[in-house]
Amino acid sequence: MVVKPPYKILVVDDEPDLEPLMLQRMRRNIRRGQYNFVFARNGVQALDRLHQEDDIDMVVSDINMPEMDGLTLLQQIPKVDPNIRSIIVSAYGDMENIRTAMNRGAFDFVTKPIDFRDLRVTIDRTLQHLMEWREALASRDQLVALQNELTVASKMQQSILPTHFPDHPGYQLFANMEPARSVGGDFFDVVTLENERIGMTVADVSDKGVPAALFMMSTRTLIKGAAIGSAGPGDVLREVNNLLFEDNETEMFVTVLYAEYNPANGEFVYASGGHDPPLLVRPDGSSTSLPLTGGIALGLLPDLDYRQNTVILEPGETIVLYTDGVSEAMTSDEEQFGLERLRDAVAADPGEDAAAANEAVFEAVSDFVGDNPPSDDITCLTFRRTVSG
Amino acid sequence: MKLTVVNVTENGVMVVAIDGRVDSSTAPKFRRVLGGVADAGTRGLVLDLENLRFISSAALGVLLEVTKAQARRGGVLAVCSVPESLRKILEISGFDQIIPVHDTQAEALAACSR
Repeated sequence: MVVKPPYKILVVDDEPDLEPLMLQRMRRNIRRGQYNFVFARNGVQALDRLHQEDDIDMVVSDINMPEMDGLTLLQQIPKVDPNIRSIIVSAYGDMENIRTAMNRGAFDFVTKPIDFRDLRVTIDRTLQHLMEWREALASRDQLVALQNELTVASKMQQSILPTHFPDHPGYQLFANMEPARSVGGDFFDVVTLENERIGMTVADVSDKGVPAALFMMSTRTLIKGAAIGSAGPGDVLREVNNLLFEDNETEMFVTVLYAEYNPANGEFVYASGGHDPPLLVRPDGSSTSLPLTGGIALGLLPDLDYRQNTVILEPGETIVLYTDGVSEAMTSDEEQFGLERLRDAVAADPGEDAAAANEAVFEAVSDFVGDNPPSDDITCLTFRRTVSG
Repeated sequence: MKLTVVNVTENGVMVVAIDGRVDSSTAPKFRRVLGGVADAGTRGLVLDLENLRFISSAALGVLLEVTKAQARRGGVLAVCSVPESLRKILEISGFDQIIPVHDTQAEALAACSR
């Protein structure tokens, strides 16, 4: 059953002003027939509506409400319909509630005061995930078990990747992920922070299949949550590592490179959890791998400290974050793509924008490996401080 | 991928050579075999990686699993003769901070016999 828009979204909040505000700010999406909003003032009312109307696709819920709070509501929703997805609205930087919400099955969260542009992006991403999930469910019976699991996992993997990148005069950013035939565990993410700063993640989960895809989703969300209001990348990795370790009963782990950029002063701060360091490419085509910060892959051991390192990006300089699917892409003779080819692809045309430079990497890898099918996901994120930035 | 027991010392340290590639298709077998060897009650386990050409991240997870299982029963796991490319992977992933890495089999044996 693949439902067509408008998608029915139940908004749950005890604040009466939210209803007219939501309708006003989302009026274009409503007029275009994308969203259809219904409202409830607390968890009890929300459950009543969910029982009465079986066409609600997703829930956007506040946490603190009378009668039944948002976290309790989250536990009840799957009993009504396990295929409804929820977004939680939490206080800024309230990791404890965000984490509880994620553990109770929330798909994503936004923070207060609500940034309606961010909410729209989050709703769209959730709906996209929901559609892909329903499609996978619909085709489940036609596929043998393993194939289906990989299909579901790969759709989950695709659904968490951002498709829009910030538009800022001071920098350009673009990223892409090409999945291997047998699913790997790469993902990337971009998060907007206070004071025009921006956070970016490239990561690689050690396993494949649905458990790995779930691990991937919780890693992405925990990073996003920890990044908001954190003291920097080292802090973010420390917090996420502990949270992942607590719930990790397997030996799954994730290597992560998380970085933050401040356009006000060109400061690029990064920390690695077992991941390849960033590659810095200068406008003259020279390059250098930034120093490794020495952190261990996330989810393995508790209470680790993660060091961070700071560099100042000069105008026109480019940072490339990648996974080993790029550097270790192999020809049939087992020759590896390597960092020099990566640098050459990025630096080939310094006048180009970050999207073109990033695309050039994928073309170069594809040309290099020839007929040899990639054995691992290929992920590359290109970040460039603009010449005027 | 091939696992061969190349040596068992008097004080119960087993040396296993791992040859070839341990990728996502061979990782389950790797887990079974290596787990089996460790469960057999070997106090010290040395993995000689001289002829290991590739190891996937899932297989690194297996190494860690066995390292932890060894630690639980008071044993140790060490690796030796790691090719340069793999050494780099161990270093970047931070695994060299969890699993003891030795240059030679002799050094690994000495460390595990202590």
